[in-house]
Amino acid sequence: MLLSLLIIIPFFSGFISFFSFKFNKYISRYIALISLILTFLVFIKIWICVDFKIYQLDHYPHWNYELILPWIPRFGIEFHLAVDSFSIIMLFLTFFLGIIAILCSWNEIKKNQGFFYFNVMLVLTGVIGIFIACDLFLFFFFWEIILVPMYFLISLWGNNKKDKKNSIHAANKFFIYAQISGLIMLMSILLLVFSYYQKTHILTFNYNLLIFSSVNLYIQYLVMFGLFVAFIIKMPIVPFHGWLLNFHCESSYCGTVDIIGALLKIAPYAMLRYSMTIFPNTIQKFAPIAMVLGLFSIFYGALLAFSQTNIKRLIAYASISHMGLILVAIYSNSEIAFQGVVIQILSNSISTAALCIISGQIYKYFKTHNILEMGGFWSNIYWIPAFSLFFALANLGLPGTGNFIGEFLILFGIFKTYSIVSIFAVISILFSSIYSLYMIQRIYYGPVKKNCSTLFPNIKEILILIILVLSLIFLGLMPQKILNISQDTISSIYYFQKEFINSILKIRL
Amino acid sequence: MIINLKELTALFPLLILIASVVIVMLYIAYKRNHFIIFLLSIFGLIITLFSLCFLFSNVPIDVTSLFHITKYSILYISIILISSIATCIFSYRWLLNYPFNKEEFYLLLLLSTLGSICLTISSHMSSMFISIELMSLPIFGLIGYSNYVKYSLEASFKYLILSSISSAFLLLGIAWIYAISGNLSISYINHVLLFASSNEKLVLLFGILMVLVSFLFKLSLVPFHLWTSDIYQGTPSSILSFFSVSGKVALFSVLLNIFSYKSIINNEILYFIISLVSIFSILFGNLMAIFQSNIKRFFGYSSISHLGYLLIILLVLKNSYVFSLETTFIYLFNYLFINIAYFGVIHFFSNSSNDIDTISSYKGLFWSQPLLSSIFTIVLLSLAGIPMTLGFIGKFYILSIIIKHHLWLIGFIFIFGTILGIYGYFRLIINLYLKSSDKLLNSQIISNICISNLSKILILFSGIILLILGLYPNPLIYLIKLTE
Repeated sequence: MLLSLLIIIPFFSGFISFFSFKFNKYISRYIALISLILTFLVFIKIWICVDFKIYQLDHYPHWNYELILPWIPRFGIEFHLAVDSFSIIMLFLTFFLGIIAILCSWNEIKKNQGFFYFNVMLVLTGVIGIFIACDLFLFFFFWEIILVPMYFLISLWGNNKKDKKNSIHAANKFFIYAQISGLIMLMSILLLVFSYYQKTHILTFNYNLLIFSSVNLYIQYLVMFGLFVAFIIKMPIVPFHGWLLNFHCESSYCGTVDIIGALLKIAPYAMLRYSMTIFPNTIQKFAPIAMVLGLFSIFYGALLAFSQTNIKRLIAYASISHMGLILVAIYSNSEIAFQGVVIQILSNSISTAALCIISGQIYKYFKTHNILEMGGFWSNIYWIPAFSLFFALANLGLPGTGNFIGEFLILFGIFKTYSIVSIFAVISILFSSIYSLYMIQRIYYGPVKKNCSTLFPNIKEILILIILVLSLIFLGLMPQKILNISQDTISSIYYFQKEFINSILKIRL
Repeated sequence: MIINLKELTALFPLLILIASVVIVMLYIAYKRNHFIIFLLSIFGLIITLFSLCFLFSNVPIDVTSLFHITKYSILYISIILISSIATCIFSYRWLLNYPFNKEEFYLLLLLSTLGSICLTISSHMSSMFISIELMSLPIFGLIGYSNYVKYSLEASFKYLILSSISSAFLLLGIAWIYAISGNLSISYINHVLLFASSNEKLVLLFGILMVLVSFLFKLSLVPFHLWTSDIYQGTPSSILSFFSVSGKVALFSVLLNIFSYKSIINNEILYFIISLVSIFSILFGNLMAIFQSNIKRFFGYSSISHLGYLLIILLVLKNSYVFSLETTFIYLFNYLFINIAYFGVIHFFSNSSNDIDTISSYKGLFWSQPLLSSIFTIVLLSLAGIPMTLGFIGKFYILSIIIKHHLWLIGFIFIFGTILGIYGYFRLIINLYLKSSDKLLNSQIISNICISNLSKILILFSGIILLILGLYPNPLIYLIKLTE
């Protein structure tokens, strides 16, 4: 039952903080924070009790901890939660960033706090649910649930307080993209389920059963393609990246939404977990297309980031570029690259979140996102420039930070299987260093364009940033800790794929 | 014609309803008392609803050759009855300020309910025609009941004229069918269609097509939808929830009944027409809903698209009959509660002289009425088919039908239509949460009347049902399984 608490606590605390708003104006944020910490404790309990040993598994779906309750027996849908080591890492990231998001908006959100924290908690519930769902319907359910509160967070707490039109536009764009992704995913899941039903006469959405299905090849490709499109819309990869820019631009200045956005690293998770295992033999033929798309968005993101004048847009394009690298890694068919993806997801989320917090700070003091209006901030603000320099460098993969390890593992892994792709991807680091340094140069150095007295950012923000710096350095110096945890799941996903292909080859021979 | 006891029991709900109509009529003649009449009609409807329980052991049954009652028709009848009970409750407060005779309203409502119920169970062209007329004639009166309100008389007349045209089509179709078959029972038509020569078949098909045209008109599907938005705008919101549910549920159940026969279902022309109508209804309904600024017109267009989704079920009826019936019921059940809550909320802010129906006047409702607008949000989410609401379960069912039978084109249209619709629904939702500029709505709320609390409870109840059944739809599915 511990697993269900992970969902129940944040879900109901969202409602409680919504209603408690009536009694006391400030109580809702405490409720949100306390419930998140409580959930975190439950999570720690699961982590400690269930032993995550490193051992080689001969078959893939090995869950360390499971909860199965019947939900809609008519369709064979179960309320099936399960945790393995990969989920543990992603959950840890969720709690970490979730707590930081709440701390960030602690004093900044003054209007309608109850409703705000209600939405935040609902998003967190959905994200936690996605990481522990083991039933395709349940997964889809959580995937869709986060959209509505996200929509409210963008549209109601946008950075422009007077005119909501742009925020609503951005929210609509986000929602429509997400809905397209969701509907395509639902269709492919249903197609998979019904083809499985035709073959075995078992109507089930159970992940453990469905990954061993062998429906005919045509349907396999359709389902795989559907899932691929659904996930790359949410990642986002270039042809479908339109929503992310508006999403970042219009979201609230205190950065909550961005952090939650960074926390939406559900698409790479889902890709590793679902796309790679459901039809492993179709993946190989599809890999070149995915790689081209990935490479394209690496360069597209980096080049366009270079020409942006809005900090948030710059960050958005940078994250598109990094997502491209992750996509290439996922389709690279190499275990080391898979491991790199895990580290990259963690460190990229953290560094992106940190950059968003910093841009929020700048916006708070100078009321602008436009880089051209900035300049010489190094002498105007304490602390912030140094932090942003660190995070910008981390973002481009400076050794000693987690991003470096992630990128290194990814590139190293790809080199073994697709060496040319790897060489191209290496060039992307050059581009990312250009835009990062360019950003730092134009914001913090040069002549002072805005004259104002030197500012001292408040102590809470600095503490948050210090925590983020420490965690990035931790990832950079001791990645093995994380790799050890994720090892068994990642390698069994990898070997599951391999074995599957081998078995098919054997049948053919 | 001899009716035995078993058949009489099957007609029990109808008899009770007829009795309550007679009692209400007599009481009006004896003494006009709004409250008593209200209680009588509510009581009659509730008794009818409970008397449906007696039917479960008897069905399926043919009552003479005119009616055929199945377990599914019991479910549809209960939907219609719930909708009329809700309408009674909503209308009571609305009628309190009505300056003319209030009591006939309930009479018309009961008569129209009677017509819809008869239509649901009719299996004969003649009973079908009579019940359609019985259903629509009181509705003209209901739409035009507050004839001093802007658009009301216009809507009533428009519906009167167009509806009579559609009835004419229906009669024409029935005549063509009769010319060939010589019998108007639907099962017999199926029989004739199976063995008729190709010339005769053509005539018969033309007749069926004419009947279908009339049905599509009443269901307000493209291309016979043009009346919908105007009539939705002119009708008082308390009646709209009834108008929009009962007629459509009844007609759709008859349509399901007609299309359950093999030779009709297998006909390629009909299949083609139905799929075309469905595609255009989905696209057109959702597209036009985006541009509306009137909240009632908006629902009119979105109901077009929802019936378009429902029409997909007819396409697959031959392959998975039971599953499609299940889908229909869940979708209609969802539609019922959406209607009750949607028009209930609108009704809450209106008085007898006018409805507050522009979308912009609902701006910022959340900050003054959090509960009502949360319910309204749930309703809109359910319309859009977002998870955690019953609408999603309905959408899930329809999507699984589409996937199961590989209707790719319709699947594509479905996705496209849903996305368009979502844009429209979220325009409304976000409108509720923006800061309002005027305090118009707050002054409109009269919450000191106890009946108004009753309608508030009803709105709350239907909103919660949408939410709970969306999270845990098992009770509903169990209810359907119970009937099999």
